[in-house]
Amino acid sequence: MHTNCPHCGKRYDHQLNDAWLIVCPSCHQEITSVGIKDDKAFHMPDDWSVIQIGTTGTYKGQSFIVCGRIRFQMKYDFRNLWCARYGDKTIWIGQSLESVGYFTPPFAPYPYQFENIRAGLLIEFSDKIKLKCEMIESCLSVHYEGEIAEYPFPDARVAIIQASNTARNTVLIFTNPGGRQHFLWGELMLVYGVSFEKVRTFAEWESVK
Amino acid sequence: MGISEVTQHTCPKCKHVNTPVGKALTIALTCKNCNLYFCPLTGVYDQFTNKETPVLPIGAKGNIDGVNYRVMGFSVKREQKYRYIWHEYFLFNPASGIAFLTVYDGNWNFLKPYAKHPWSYGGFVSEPTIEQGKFRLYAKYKAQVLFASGEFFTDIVEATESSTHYEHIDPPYILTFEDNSKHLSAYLGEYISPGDVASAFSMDKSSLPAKNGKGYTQPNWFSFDEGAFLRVTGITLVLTVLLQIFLTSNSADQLVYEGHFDQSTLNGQKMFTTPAFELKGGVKNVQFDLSAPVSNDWFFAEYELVNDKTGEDYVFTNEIEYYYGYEDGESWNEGSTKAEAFLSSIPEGTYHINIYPEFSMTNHTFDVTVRRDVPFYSNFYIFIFVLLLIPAGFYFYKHKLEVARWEDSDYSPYYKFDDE
Repeated sequence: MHTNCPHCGKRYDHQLNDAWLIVCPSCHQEITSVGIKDDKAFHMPDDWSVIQIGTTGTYKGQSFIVCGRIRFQMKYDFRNLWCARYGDKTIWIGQSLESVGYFTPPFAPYPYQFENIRAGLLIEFSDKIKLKCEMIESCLSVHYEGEIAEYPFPDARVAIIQASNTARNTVLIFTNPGGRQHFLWGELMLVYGVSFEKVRTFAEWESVK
Repeated sequence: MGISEVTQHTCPKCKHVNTPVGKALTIALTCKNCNLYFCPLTGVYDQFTNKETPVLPIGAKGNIDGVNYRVMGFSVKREQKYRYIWHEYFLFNPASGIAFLTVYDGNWNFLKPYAKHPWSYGGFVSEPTIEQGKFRLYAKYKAQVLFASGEFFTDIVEATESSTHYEHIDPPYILTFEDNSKHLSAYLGEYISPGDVASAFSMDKSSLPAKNGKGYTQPNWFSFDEGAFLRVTGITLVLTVLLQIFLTSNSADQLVYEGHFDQSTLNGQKMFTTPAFELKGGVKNVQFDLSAPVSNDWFFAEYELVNDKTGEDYVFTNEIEYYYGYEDGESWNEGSTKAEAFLSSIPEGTYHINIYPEFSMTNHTFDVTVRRDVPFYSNFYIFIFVLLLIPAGFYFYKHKLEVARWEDSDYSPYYKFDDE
């Protein structure tokens, strides 16, 4: 299936079965009609990420190909949420300086409410599962590129909470000022313990000269 | 790929436009014009009064563990309680991520983010255990940033000063944990020698800070598999015990001669001669059990075991002494009325013993018992002693080194032990 960009007319071949937002790789404008108002949201800042659109990898024996990303800039940190085609499904790959997380189910509503949450506290993910909050930060800006599956908070200022447990489960919870919350459920990896293919390389780092 | 927006930050003080090397990752930086430390996203800035020069210049590149890192930032930090100061170098490689080189008293550690710290997702277990080992708390502290230059991927002043820092060690590894209200951060590091740091950055080792004492993560000079060492010792011990049990159970322990001697039967002769007796079973040991009923007295004799066929003789002397008394309200005694003599490797054959006694004025008799192929324990005990002495000496020496390693820690596992 393909679409022509309504702004530049370039052909775009769809990657995901559940695409929600498509940013034209040629003119960096929105092909879909999600209605994100911030023009700068499609001007992705360069952050030295070696993962790029087209990067491939394998998770649990199933290959994936990266199609797009949402980048969350926080005061003291950032999160890249890469969206990838994973067989006939979609997988989110969370990337920070400290870890990589694979999130297979899509965003889902998070039913619990937080009070006075801070890093280090246990949060209740379900009646049986508790996770330790590793990071909580307000998001200052959000950028989008490529093709991504549904993200529930376009144009909204969100806070992001990451929490994990001993079973290496990790959850990313997004909460907006109105108290609506959605989460991604996944598995946490060491940042230097995963490998991708077709990554971006940087000549200036290839020698110590 | 999307637009690669050029990240630029205007210094709030001098208005110089800085283009950070770390691009969008850079959250804090010092202005290249006026050295103001500022965080463009939060508007926080700080002008450090100290001026420090890093030994690894900002922008220097070095290869550690096969990864080409660039020195992005440099900071000087001070622990709040004991006020000791150390330097930190913030390193980056796009493919491998961030890393740190820390140096205190000329001793270096190389650290990388470690998302699997048990405290990051579980309870505060006192001895976090990971693949590299079981770690013990060495330091818990608050810290202050005295100086920073270059670029950082977080506000290091805020992150450092708002956090409680925990350092666990299992040399050569170090596991750190930083806890503040917004982030839990953990790093796993390893001691790196000044020579390796100099080599990584193609520098002369003499340009690095002089090493003062042993680093708290520095491995001991001996490095071998202690588990294998203990296993070999244990196996040798078991084999030795089994061998001794085998030898003991297979020894004949045969009584071959027993005699009582009285000075009155000498009839002017100077020696006693025993009847002939047989020593059988090839080359075996012979034990002499000697006794004399001495009381505050002595008995001395020279013994000559003679092979009747070859004439070969085996000579030894023995003195039996036994004294006792009562002095200053206490009884005392020394010596014994019995003694043992042992001859190893005596060939089989017919033997007799010539005994040349020296009697005192009060004692006139003695007894001799000869046993063949007796179980022998002294070599066994000496071997066991030496076998255990080696690991005991090793662990005593290691203990001393470890006590010294933990000398500066409030959490030394040796402190109370050595203080008592």
